[in-house]
Order: sequence, then C-alpha cells, then structure tokens
Amino acid sequence: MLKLSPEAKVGIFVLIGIILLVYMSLRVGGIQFGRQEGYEIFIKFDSVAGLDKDASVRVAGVEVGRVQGITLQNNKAKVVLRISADVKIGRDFTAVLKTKGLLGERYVELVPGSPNAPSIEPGGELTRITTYTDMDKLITILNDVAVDIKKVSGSLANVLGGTEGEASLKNIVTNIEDITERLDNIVKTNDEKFGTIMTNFEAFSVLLKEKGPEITDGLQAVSDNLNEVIAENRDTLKDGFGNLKAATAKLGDTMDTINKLAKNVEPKIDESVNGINSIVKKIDKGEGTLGKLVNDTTVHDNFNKTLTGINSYLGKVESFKTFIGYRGEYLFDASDTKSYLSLTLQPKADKYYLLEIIDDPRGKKTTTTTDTAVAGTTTTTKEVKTSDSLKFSVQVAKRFKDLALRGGIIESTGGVGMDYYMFKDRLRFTFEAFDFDKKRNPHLKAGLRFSLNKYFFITGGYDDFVSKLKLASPYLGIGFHFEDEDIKYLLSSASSAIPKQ
Amino acid sequence: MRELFENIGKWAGRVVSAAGGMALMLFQAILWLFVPPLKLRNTFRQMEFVGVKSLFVVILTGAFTGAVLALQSYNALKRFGAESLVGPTVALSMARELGPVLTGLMVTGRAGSAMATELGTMRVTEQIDALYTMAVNPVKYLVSPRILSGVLMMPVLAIITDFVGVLGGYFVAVKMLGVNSGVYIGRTVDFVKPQDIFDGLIKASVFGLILSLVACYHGFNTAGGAAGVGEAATKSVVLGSVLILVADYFLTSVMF
Amino acid sequence: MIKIIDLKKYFNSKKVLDGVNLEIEKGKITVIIGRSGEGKSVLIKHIIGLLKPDFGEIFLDGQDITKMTERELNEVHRRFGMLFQGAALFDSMTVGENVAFPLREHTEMPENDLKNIIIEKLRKVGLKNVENMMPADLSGGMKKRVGLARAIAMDPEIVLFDEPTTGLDPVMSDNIATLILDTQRDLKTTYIVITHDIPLTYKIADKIAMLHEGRIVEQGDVDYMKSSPNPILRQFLEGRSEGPIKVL
Repeated sequence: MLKLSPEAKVGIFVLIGIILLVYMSLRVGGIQFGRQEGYEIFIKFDSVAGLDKDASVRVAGVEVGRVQGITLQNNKAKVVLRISADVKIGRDFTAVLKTKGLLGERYVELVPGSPNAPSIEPGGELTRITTYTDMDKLITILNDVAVDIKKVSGSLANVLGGTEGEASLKNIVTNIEDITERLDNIVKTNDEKFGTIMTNFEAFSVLLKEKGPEITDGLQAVSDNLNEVIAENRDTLKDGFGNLKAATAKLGDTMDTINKLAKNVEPKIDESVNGINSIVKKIDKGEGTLGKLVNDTTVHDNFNKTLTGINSYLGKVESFKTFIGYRGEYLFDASDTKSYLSLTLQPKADKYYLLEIIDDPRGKKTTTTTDTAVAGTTTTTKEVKTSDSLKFSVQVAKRFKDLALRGGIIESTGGVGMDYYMFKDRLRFTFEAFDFDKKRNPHLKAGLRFSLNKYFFITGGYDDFVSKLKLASPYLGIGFHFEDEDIKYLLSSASSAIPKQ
Repeated sequence: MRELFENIGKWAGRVVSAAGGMALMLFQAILWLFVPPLKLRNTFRQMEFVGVKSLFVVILTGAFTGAVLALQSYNALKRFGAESLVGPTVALSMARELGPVLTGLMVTGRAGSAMATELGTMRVTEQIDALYTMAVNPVKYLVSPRILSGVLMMPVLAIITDFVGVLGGYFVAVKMLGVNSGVYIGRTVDFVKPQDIFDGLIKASVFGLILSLVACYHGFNTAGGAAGVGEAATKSVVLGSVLILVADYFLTSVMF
Repeated sequence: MIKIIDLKKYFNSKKVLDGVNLEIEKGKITVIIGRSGEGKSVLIKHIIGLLKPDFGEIFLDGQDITKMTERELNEVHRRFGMLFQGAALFDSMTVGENVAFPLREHTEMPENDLKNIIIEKLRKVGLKNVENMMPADLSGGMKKRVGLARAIAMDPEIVLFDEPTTGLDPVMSDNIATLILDTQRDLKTTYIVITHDIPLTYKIADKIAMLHEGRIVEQGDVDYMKSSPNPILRQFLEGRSEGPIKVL
C-alpha cells in the first residue's frame, strides 16, 4: 500500500469534504454565482407574512427569480423581486403569495395575463395582486357560499321538479339546440364574408389614418364657414326663431288634438292594461313557472345571498362588475324608436359579456308579393313590410387597449362588432355587422356614442346602410347605464319607499 | 453542613478557574498561531489524527443515524400520509442537527479523549516541561495545532456525516420501505436550503473548537500520575460532550 | 554565573523554599543535595523559569530571570539544557528525532548535518544505532543517556540534571556519572545537578550545596563538606535515620 504523508492524507480528506459540500449545496440550492444578474421589479402587498428573503418567484411553477428584499413602506410590504433577464413580466401579470405544499415555504407566483400586454420595465411596479385572506376566512366564505348554493338548488328543484318545470326545461334545451345549430350554419356560410369584411375594415382604417389630418383640416374649415354663415345670417336667424315660436304655438294645438285622440284611444289602453294586469296578477299568484320563480321569495333571497357571497369572494379576486343599461335610438327613416335593454357582466377589466333585449320596430320583415295583371302582362311587385319584434343579443367582448372586439348573437342572428374608444373612453366609435344573408347583404351599423356623465350618453349613426331592403336610416339616441352598486342602492331605496304587504 | 458549603465553594472555584484557564489557553493558542514559524507539520499530523482517522467511525455513525431517522420518520409520517417528507426530514435533521452534534460527540470520544491522554501523559512525564526548557512554547507546539485541526476537520467530518446520513436514509426509505426515489430526492432538494448545510458546518466548527480546547486544557493541567491521566481523559470527554450539547442549543437558537 | 538571592516559594501556605541563597560558578559542576521532597526540583524549576518565586531573585549573568517576560525567558532557555528525572523523551518520536528536536526547532540545519550531529551526540553518551528506536523500547539507563544527548544537543552553556541516577542500578549510575564528567570536561559547561545519590555527588561535584527545610544549610567543595561538622549534613552524608533530620 502506498505510504502517504499526513499532509497528503489530510489533503485528500479535505478534498472529499469540499466535493461533498459543493455537490450537496448545488443540489439543494442551485447556488447562484453573480446574483446581481437580471432585473428588479417591485410589488406592494398588504401582508407578506411568511415570505422570506430569497424566496423563489415563479411563473407557471417555474422559478424565474428570487425575492431580493422586503421593506415596509407606508404600512405596506414592498417586495423587491429579482427576475432573470430572459424572462419578461407583463404589466397585467397578477402576483399571488403561495405556499409550497400544505405546510411548505411561501413563494411569489406571478400569474400571466394576456400575451400581448406590454412588459414591466426594470424597476417598475407590478400592481395587480391577488391576496388570499386568511385560510380560515376563505373557508368560512366558501362554507357560506356552499350553504347558499344548497338552498338555491333546493328551491330550484322545487320549482323545476314538477311536470311543468320539466316541460319548460325541455323547451329551453330545445331552444338552445336550435340556436346553436343556427349559429353554426351562419358561421359556416359566412366564413368568406368575414374575411372580406375584415380586409375592408383594414383598408378603411388605413385610409382613416392617412386622411386623418385632412379630415381635421376640413372640420376646421367647416366650423369657420359655419361661423361666417351665422354672422352673415343674423337677421335670418332672428326670423327663424320667430317661426319657431309660431311652430311652438301650433304644437300646443297639436297637443290638444293628441289629447282628444288619446281620449278616443283610452278604452283600448284600458283594455290592454287590464290584460297586462291579469297576467301580472297570475304571475303574482304564482301561477305558471315564471310566477313560481318570481313569487318564491326563498329563491329570490337565496339567490341574492349567493350572489353577494360569490361577489364578495370574487370581488377580492377581481373587480367583477355588472352593468344594467337602456338606450333608445330614433330611426329617422322609420320614424320610430328602437329600444335596447342591456346587461353587461364584466369579470375582468378587459373582458365582458353583453346581454341585450331589443325592441325593434322593424324587426319582423314580411315580404308580400302582389301580382297585378294589366292587359295580359303580370307585374309582380315585392313589398317588404316591417313590424315590431323582440330580439336578443348575447355577445362576448374582449378589449385590447383602446379597441374592443365582440361577437356572438346580435339581434337574434350571428354577428360581430367592434368598439374604438377615444378621449378616455368618453367617445366611442361602434361598428357592427350581423344578419348575414347573401341575397340582401349583411346588416351593418356604424355610430358614435358620447358619454355625458357616468350614467348618461347620447348616440348617433347610420343603421343598416348596405342592405338591399332599403331600411337604411340615420339614427339619434339617448341612453343610460348603471353599475350594480348603483342599482343595489336604487333598489334598496325603492323597496324602502314601497310599503311591504 | 459547613462541609457542604465548603464543597460548593470549592466546586465554584474550580469551575471559574477552569473557565478562565480555558479562555486563557484559547487566547494563547490563537495568539501563537500567528507567531512564526507555523508548525505546519504538527498541524497536519493532528488533522490526520482528528480528521482522517475519525472517518470510519463517523461514516458508521452517519449511515446508521440516517437509516434510523428514515425508519422512525417513515413510521410517524405514514400516519399522515406524508411519506414523501421522509427525505427532507432525514436531510434537514442530519444537516442542521445530528450531523454536527453526533460527529462532535464521536470525535470527542475518539480524538478528544486521546488528546487529553496524550497531553496528560506528556505533563506527568515532564515532556511539557522539557519542551519549555528547550525554548519551545508548549501551547504553540501542542495546543494550537490541536485546536486548529479540531476547528478545520470537524466541518469536513460533518459534511461527510451529512452525506452518508442522507445516503443511509435513502437506502432505508427507498430500497426497504418503498418510498419513491424521485420523490425522496425531489422533496429533499425542495426543502433543504444550502444555508441549512452551512449553518450545520459552522456548528461543527464550533464543536471542534470546544472538544479540542477542553481536551487540551484537561491534558495540560493533569496532575497525579497515571490515575490523573485517566481522570483527565474522562473529564475531557464528559465536559466536552456536555458543552457541545449546550453550545448546540445556543447556536441553534441564534442561527435558525 | 547564577546568583540566587533569598528565594521563597510557598505551595498552599506550605513553605517549600524559605530563603535560598546560592551562587553557581561558571564551568563548574554544582551538586545540590537534600532529602526527597525538600524542594530540590522546585529550586531547579525556578532556575529555568518553569516556576515563579513568591519572593527573591535569580540573576543569570546579572539579569533577573524572575522578572523576565515569556519572550526573554524563551531566549534564555536556548542557553539551557535539562535532563529530567524520567528523561522526558517525547514518546511520539524516535530517539533520533528526540535528539534533533531542539535543533529542528531553533536552527535551519540541513537534514544531513542534523543526522551527523545526532550520531555524534549519541556516541558521546555511549549509544550507537538507536536513532530509529522509539523511547518506549529503551531501558531506563538508555533513556537517561538519550535525554542527556538531547540536553547537550544545542551545546548549551548551562545544563540542569534532575536526579540523573534515580531508578538506576549502581553500575549504570556510575556510568552516568562518568558521562556527566566526560561531557562537562569537553566544553567546560556549567552543570547543576540535584540528587541524593552520595557516591555520584562525591564523584562529580566541584561544589556541593545542602538544601534542608527550604534553606541552604551548608555549601563548599567535596573535601570541605566531607569534613564539615554540621550535624544535618553529617546525618545526610552518612545516611543515618537518627539525628536532627526528623523522619516523619
């Protein structure tokens, strides 16, 4: 055996030790030499209990950095993260404090947002945070929600359990089947058209971009001209106002006439009101499915509770918003008003669902063919008659910065739409295309919408301008929309105003 | 009654003088380390004695400790369905606690007692005086290398114990108890941080200092012939082990 | 050369040295005699600085070694050699390494020269081919001789002997006495020997000092001491149990 000096033996021994140490630390820690690589971003949490310095930062479970430091700033925990240089963190990433395993260490998970969101600059702040409240609290909330859901499902079972309920359920299912089938067909038949529309639209926007300055110049010129015209026609205007006065006087007369007319119509109105009344009474008594649903207060209450529960939970996760709105558009060529009742569900700032019920005065189109025989020749006249009809829209919308795209069912047919927002969302350019039909071109609608305040807006544009049905008409309208918070407020004040029976 | 108080007084006096003597010896030993010429050869010989020659006993201790840990923690964790945590339990226990402490105790028993015996014999046969009369400082010649080798070799032994312990645990958990090998290693890697290992090594180093200092002090202050030498060895093992366990508590409370 | 003035040492309030006054001449062999446990070893340890006195001074060439720092004392030690009672050989080293130890520690001598010196010093104490043996394998006399070889390895000015013949048979004792004389004569080194071996004392002493109850009770050359009427000295030299020295 080789005789080794003490120095050599100790040397080999120490070397073994160092190799083991290096091996083990590399295995367990992935020691990072040159920790200063990458870049820093920071997040402000309400609480970072359990989070340590050097805790890992993960995207989709993959470690992309470490917690560089935790400091207190304005009673919030400022957490500085060091992220690998090759990883981009989008501005709409959401930071979540997570726990590895059931009892493991805490780490920061960054949940990716949309792929085309801009990334955070080095040194920037990530503002979107999901804070899970305490485990206990969460469990309590979930428990409440579960109890509520149980109640609701119980009530629903009561309502839908009968033969009546079964029938209505069947109906609903059939209807849905029908709708989807139609949707499918629409999409299939209009695939090509979509393409062309998009191309056209592109071309249009390019044109708009190019001609933008010209248009503004033109507008300037118009307003200048307008000023001049006003200056020149001061007298004429005066006359005009005089005429207006006269017109108003005449309007008074007209009103009288209408009054008289109304008196004649009154009995008829009475009749219909009575009819409605009887329906309402029926509903009130709980006759029919709807009646049961409306009258079963437990359903109502439980639903409310559940919604509150879910909302308060969801509200912590994301700002879930609900809007209810109404707008009326006066169609000049039809001399009638088209009404929209809308419900917007917005689970995320950049995504919403739009549900609308539309009362369209020209909704039902009946084509009458009249054959007139004059001296042996038969002339066929086609006439489109329109009548009042209820329609509905269900749309999914996604917003990319200032542009929102939406699609789904528009006015009971397949369609797509886009909204372009300007001036901090106060002005909105809207374009919709739906009711695709090869024979008579799709229904196109373009318009502007201007918000007067948080609730009210005016709108105007041109409806159905390419169809062969000659239903094109400019429109002007007014509308309002409320957020659920406002509605709740209104409802509570309203219910307190109405004495309970 | 009076005797009792006298004994307490004597005991207290001995404790105080021992503490003072050890502190002084440590101070001198450190001081002499920096006075050239450095006794490299002596230091290496001590390193070989403390480190290389303790290897076998330390490997045995580590392997069986890891194995027992795996067995025990498996039985406990199985009740919670957390068998996957056997790996981290073994690795963390070894790295943070058992590796350094058991190595410290084993080396105290093996090398500490031997140091005390050797120095004690040198004291009673006047070899230490002989060194002194030959203008060789006994602290520099005998104590400094021993303390240095204790401080340097203990971490090396501890890391070997850690490694062997984890291997032993792996063997028992994976080969005998059927824990998934990927889970064993993966969980271990997940839970153990390099800091755990480093802290354990710092502990080991402190234990090395304690055991060598205690052994040197008792050996150096041996009196009373062969019986005195035996007593010195016993004392150094007992006091060294106790001090290691006490120091372990305080180090742990400071570190983790 | 060495002057000890009024040296006092107490161990736990027991008087061991009670005012020792002694002068040691250069190049002479001074033998300090006295009963076992009378403090001869304590005295010699004071001379070399292993123990500090409670009172008194020890001058080495006019310098008080009791007031010296460790560093100065370390320098002084290079001028000393000492043969311990049990030889105090380092049992972890071979005989050769033991003899070479002071040289290795204090000089940068090449290994070859070192080897020659080892052989020469061992030859001086009458040993051959023992360099590679371990001390444990040696007899008591051989150990003493190796100890002597180590003590004179550095060619010191002063060599101290602590009971050089204790535990040896008379023949070996005489052999050691001869060696002491031989080695002293070559270099005219100052030797201080403590012993209670009377034949050894008569054989080697230039000057004898009698230590009793912590004091030097009589000193002088061999002839003076042999004829001194001091009853304590007489009793000790003649080896009687009855007399002024009380056996407890």
